Formats: sequence, structure tokens, C-alpha cells
Amino acid sequence: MLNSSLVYLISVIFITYISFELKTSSLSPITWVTLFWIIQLFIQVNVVSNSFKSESRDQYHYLFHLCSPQEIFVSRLTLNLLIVNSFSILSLIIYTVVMGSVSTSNQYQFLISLLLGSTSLTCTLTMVSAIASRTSNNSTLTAVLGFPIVSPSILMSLKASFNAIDDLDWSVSYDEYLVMISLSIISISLSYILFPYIWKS
Amino acid sequence: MNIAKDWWKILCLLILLIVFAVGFLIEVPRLHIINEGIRNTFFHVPMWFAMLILFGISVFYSIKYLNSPNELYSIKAGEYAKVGILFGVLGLLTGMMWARYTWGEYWSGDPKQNGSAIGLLIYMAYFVLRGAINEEELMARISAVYNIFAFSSLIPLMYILPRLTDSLHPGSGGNQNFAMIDFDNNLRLVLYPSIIGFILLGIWIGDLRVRIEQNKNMLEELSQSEL
Repeated sequence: MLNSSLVYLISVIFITYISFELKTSSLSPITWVTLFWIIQLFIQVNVVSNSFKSESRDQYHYLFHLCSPQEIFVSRLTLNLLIVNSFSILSLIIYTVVMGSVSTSNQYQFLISLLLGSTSLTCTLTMVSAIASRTSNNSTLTAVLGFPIVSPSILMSLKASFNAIDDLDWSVSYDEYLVMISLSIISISLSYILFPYIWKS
Repeated sequence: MNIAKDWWKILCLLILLIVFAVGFLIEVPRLHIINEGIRNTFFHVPMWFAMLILFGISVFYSIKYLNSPNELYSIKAGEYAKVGILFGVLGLLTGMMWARYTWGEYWSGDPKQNGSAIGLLIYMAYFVLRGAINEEELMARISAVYNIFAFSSLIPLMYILPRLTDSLHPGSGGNQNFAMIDFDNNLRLVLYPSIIGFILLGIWIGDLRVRIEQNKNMLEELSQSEL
């Protein structure tokens, strides 16, 4: 599963690179960042939508009797967070290699907004993929249900990233960071309460 | 009609009649650019109040369903959300008309406009989900969970994020609130009843839709038992 997502990541970035036909140097920083986040969105939906469909029926029964739903949810969420955050750093590296980088003096600010954004996206998408896994065609439905719901997180991450490449002070983005963190906390706590209703069947 | 039980339907009709009559006839303050358009306050603002209340009712029944599974709660959650979407679309349309004559464009990329459009998309996805599961009981449970989740992301989208950014709407992004500029007490006298009237209308429509849906289900069961 991880390998397929990895191939997906590389091919999406490579297709973007080819589509621009070596004219990447004429890309404005705003286009660069927006494109990067759209690619992020697709990669993360792909990674997270795999998280609940991988187990077979027998495996599901085994897990069902072995541990409580909350334990399952927390472990899946932790795994997703680890994978998505490492994937986002990896995709940033590949993206800068092929698409060129934008000049900024505060790379750390960009990195923080990337990690916080991916975290808040993953927290929401994990629950959405759990919901979608109960239907017959779950990968399409994860996108349909997930895209509108994650839009606040995407907007906030975009704004924080724009602040970073505009060389603005850290204090300018505190609002965005705060919103991203609180969105993650809201969706984690809601999912923690609601997940048992999805898990039992 | 049972007066003791249905008094609020009469109240709703009376309020809306008065609002439509007085709303168009009353003397309004002449403000720059808005001019007569300020009358749209009586019709645009209540739509969003009604939508929020209807989505609230829908979430209330979803929580109730998770506590004690009952088919009626699931039907109520679905139907009230449908009426909520209707009011949301009407709110967007009245807002677009208003935006054309005050801000210059039907769609000005205002964060509140975008937020409410995305909010409606979230609720349309709710109906996609309801249609995607065939098993009745599973559908009711899963969609109840999604409904709670959707409502919790609707609130930041429509009421918190626009306040953080520059918005053309009054009361957000450093813009002045209506109450701060010149909110004539006459306007309030029409606006508040109008809000109550449209909320009652929404609940009424939702109530009727629930009864239609219940009857449909009953007919289906009857025809199946005859076979």
C-alpha cells in the first residue's frame, strides 16, 4: 500500500513538471505554492483513503475482538500522521528538485506551515476515510466527502505558506497556526467519540 | 387544523405577510451605494439564520439517532438538512443579487460567499453518502456520524474564517458592523420578526417533508407485505 502511494506521489509531481514543459522558471511564487498544495491534497487523500480498506473480512473480525474501537482509531491516526508528514517532506524535496525553488529566507516557517497543514488535513481525512470505507466504492467517496470538509485547513495552510514565502514575521501567521491546531483538535476529539459508531457492524 | 397544536403555523403566515408588506413599504435610511437595496436585509439575513437552525435540528436528530436508533430520527435528520440546503441556496441567490448592485459582481470572491458555497457542498456530499449505502440501518448510522462531522466544520467555515480575513461583508475583517453604522430601529423591527418567520417556515416545510417520507415508507412496506 505504501509503495503504491509512493509511486502515485512521484508520478503526480512528475506529470506536473512535464506539463509545464521546462518553463518552470517562469512560475510565480504564488503559482508554485498553490500547485504544491493542490498536489499535497491529492497525495494525502490517496494515502489516507488506503488506511481503512486494506484489511480483509477476517482481519476485521480479528481486530474487532482484539481491541477497542478507540485504540484502533488512535493507532490508525498515528500511523497516518507519520506517513503523511514524511510523505509531505519527501514530496517537498522532489517538488523543489524538479520545479525549482522559490527564494525565501524563512524556510522553517514554510516547513512548519507544511507540517501543521498536513497534520490538520490528516486528522479530518482519517475520519472521512473511515466513513467512506463503509460504502461500496470508498476511494471516490473519500474525495467527494473529503474535499469540501478539508477546505478550511487547505486555505489556512496556503495563507501560512504565502506568509512564509513573503518573508513575513512569524507573528503574522500565529492566527493561521492557531486555526490549524484547533481544527485538528476538534476533528480528533469528534472522531474519537464518533468512531465506535462506524466501527461496529 | 388543531389551533392548540398548529398555532405557530398561523403565526408564521401572519409574520411573513406583515414582513413582506412592511418590508417593501417602510421608510429606510438612505445610505450611500446601498440605497433601497438595504431592504434585502429583511430577506437575505433570515435565510442564513433559518439554514443554521435547520442544520442544527438535523444534527440534533443525528445525535438522537446514535443514542437510540429509530428510523424516524434518520428521516428527520435527512429532511431537515434538505430544507436547510434550500434556504442556503436562497441565501446565496439573494446575496448574489445584492452583491451585483453594491459590490459590482455577482461573485466577488468574498470569504463568506466562498465559505457558504463550500458549506453547501459539504451538505450535498452528505446526500451523496446517504445514497451510496444500500443497507437502511447502516446508512442511517454512518450518515448521522458524517452529519455531526459536517456541522462541526461548517461553523468555522462560515462564522470563524471570514472574520480572520478581509471580507466585504459588514462585521468582518475590520469592516463596520451594521449595528455600528446606522442600524435604524425600524429595520430591527422588521428584521427580527422576519428571522423568526422564516425559521418557522423552514420547520414547517421540514415537518411536511418528514410526513411525506414516512407515508412513502409505509406504502412501500404495505406493497411488500401484499406481495
